[in-house]
Amino acid sequence: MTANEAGNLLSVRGYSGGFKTPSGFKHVLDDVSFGLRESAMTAIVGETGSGKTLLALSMMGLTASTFVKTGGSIEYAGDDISTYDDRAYRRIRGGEFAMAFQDARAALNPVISVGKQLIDACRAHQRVSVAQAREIAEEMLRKVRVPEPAQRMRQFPHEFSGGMAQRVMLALALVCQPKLLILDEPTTGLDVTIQADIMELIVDLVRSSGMTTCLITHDLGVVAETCDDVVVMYRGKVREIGPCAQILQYPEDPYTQQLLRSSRFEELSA
Amino acid sequence: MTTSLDPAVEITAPKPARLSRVAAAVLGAIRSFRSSSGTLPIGLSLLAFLVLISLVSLIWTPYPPTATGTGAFSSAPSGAHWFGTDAVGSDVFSRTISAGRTDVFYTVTAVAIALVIGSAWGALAGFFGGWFETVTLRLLEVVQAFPALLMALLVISILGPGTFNVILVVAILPLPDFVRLARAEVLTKKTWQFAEAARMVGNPPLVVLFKHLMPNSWRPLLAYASISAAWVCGNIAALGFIGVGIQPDAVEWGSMIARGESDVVAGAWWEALFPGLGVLVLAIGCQLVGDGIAARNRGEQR
Amino acid sequence: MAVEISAPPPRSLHGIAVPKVANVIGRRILGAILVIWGVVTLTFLLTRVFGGDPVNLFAQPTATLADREAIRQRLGLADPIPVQYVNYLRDVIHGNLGTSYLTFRPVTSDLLTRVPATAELATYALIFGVVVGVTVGVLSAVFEGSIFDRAVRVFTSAGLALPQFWVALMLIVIFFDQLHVLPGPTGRLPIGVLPPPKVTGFYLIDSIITGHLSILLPALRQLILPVLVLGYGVASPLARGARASMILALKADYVRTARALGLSRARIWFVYAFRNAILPVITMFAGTVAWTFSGTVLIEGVFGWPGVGQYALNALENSDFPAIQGFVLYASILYVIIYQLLDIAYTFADPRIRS
Repeated sequence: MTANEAGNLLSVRGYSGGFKTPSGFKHVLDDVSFGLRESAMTAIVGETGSGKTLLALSMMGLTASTFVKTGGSIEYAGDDISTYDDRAYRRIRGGEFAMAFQDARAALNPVISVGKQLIDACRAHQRVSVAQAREIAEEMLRKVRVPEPAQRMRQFPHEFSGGMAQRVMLALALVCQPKLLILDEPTTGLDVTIQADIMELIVDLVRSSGMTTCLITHDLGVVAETCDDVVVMYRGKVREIGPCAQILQYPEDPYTQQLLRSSRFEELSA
Repeated sequence: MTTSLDPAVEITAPKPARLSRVAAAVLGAIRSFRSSSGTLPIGLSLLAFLVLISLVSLIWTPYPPTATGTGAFSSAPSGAHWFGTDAVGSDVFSRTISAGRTDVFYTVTAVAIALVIGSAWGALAGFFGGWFETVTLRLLEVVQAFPALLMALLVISILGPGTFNVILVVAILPLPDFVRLARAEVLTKKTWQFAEAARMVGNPPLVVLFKHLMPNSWRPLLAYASISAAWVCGNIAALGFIGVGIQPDAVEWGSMIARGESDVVAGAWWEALFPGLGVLVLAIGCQLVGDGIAARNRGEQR
Repeated sequence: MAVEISAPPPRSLHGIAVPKVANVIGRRILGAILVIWGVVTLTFLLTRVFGGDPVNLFAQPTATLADREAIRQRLGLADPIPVQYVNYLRDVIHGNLGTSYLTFRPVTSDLLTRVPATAELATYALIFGVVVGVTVGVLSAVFEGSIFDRAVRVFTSAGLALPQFWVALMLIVIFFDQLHVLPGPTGRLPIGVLPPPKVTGFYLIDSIITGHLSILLPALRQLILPVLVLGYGVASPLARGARASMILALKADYVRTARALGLSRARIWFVYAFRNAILPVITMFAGTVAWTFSGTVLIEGVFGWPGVGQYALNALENSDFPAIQGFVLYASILYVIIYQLLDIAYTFADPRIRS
């Protein structure tokens, strides 16, 4: 059940944590261990409440102030980044780590134009002029297949459909060419046909750049089609971990088996 | 009252049961007051203090509040006159605590009137809708286009002085807010199941409105009543200070400040400090109570 | 690849009035006119219909019925109510707010001579109040829970509870009586100093423009306390509103995204969060303008400021009804215009409404 430790961009070791609530301490993550292999796409699957989003936020250092780590570490580039304060994290966020959030339209600032948000993100990590940043931003929109990017740059998030907003979200995450891309349920809430488009786009971008990707989802079909490794989570614990093909075809853990059964995956793959 | 399976009887509870429910609510409130922290107890303590000294002033003051020449004119606080004397030699302490009665009375009465009339009006407007609601909303817009104090000044200059007139005029100020609040409450609750159930069972609309819908809305209205009392008492003092409606020599905090104004500028600070503190304590007390009630309302909803 | 149905084709660039925006502005203007009409009508009803008989103010005790009739005719009170109403409307539209019982001059011209004094005071107070209030509120939210935050909350609560005229008096006691650092309440200028030639009516500006710089400092010193007191009353609710709004904005998803992108804290606070937080504050600002109208009456009284507020106080003291009504009408109409303008400004500030 141990992940392949060599060749990991990022390793989570025995990470545990919980929330401080008025009625006591609530443990949410328990001894989570896995590794994100370099240039691979790792999926973290689980139901709602399994702690997968919280895990992603922990990797990014974006957990709520009431969240406290109770043990373990997150290793990246030789450091335990779970001990980083906000200032230290600001150096790696955006430039080395990037995250695309679930509800793109809520995750984008409603009163600032999309172009400006892209330009800001770009200039936060690269020393470029505004004009250069604008070009980079436009190019990024083109890469995520947003039509008429020059015009779209001037628009605001509410003028984008769900799928288009998700593309913008991706553009924002990728504009500074991060080493690690975390995607939190990128296709949830979108129409099925759009979902396929978005995943295809993501796979394209990721494969062509060789970046390490962490895909958080509850959709096993997507995992089967796109991912290399998978981490199965349930109620804050890791239940099973390993190469995608192996886990999905020969699950050992009862929960994983149940998950596969209830998603009717076996029927589809058979 | 016979027990029957008639749902109409069950929904409109018989009177004795309702009284004991009210008593239970009051006891519950007292219990939670003792155990709660935060602004509510502080606010209530301040208000209780004010009410207490006002009541004391009913039976005893060091000097008669309206008596002149009780000591030297405009003398500083001393053993004989704890808050000093004003321009005509009246004892500032006696006047200050007596004025508490006036200001508290005006404030409470005006807010109570605005609360009752405003809530009823708003509830009716929200419940029945139609032209009544539209006319109400337009009227509110027009009335609220007048800055508060100016509206008060306009109306009082027309009505002339007098206790009743002042209370009426001051009640107009928060009244539109109560109308809006009550209407909003009714609009949200109108479609809830218990309202529909009460209707289906055959209760006439007004009964549904006032016996079922409104009793559930008293908390936000109470919170707002308290918060509005904080600025209403400021307006009352302002009217007293300006000298309209409330007579210039009235035993009222604003009027006291007006009487002492020129002396204060010349250095007799005590003539204005203490009445002003009175208004401040009343306003802060009401504000804290209102904030406390509002916070608890939010807590309950969570 | 499936064809994605994208959002409607992009609207035109900023600044070009797209029909929808003109529609919104048009409706606001219409709304404003209706409210102003309502305000005028309500004032008429209150004064002519419910008011007392002003003839008594003019008639001699020995006046005969014919004399009283003549006075009534002269005051325009002899006509039936509907006719009076039409005349009243017509007068107001032409800017005629009646004739003062005290000065026998048109109320409008009396008011106009006094407007610059109030305008100067109110403008500085509003600027001070907005700048200080919003800044303090925003910082209070950014440093939520700190000592600064708690101090701000105490100050703003006090600002809402304190009677302005009392604060004014207390400050005069402290800074004029006791510390002798600021001048007394002698109005816009100390005794013996003459005002600069009138260009705008604002002494600070006029003294600079016309080169009478010796007046600048005395005028400024007279302004400090009244602006402070009025400004405090403006800043308090704005600070509270800005704080609450900013706290919400800082918790929003889009701020989390901004952090994830590694944007600097300053940019996140003062651009990404602030631009969202300021929107409700624009609406709040309208309320503080109304409050400033009321406030000037009290402040001008305490500081002897020769503005429209003092005019109203004189009118009240002398039962000069046309003056009182004229002042309240003018103030309310002005307020309606201002808050509709603010509403329109809000429409432009929020891109979600704009397009």
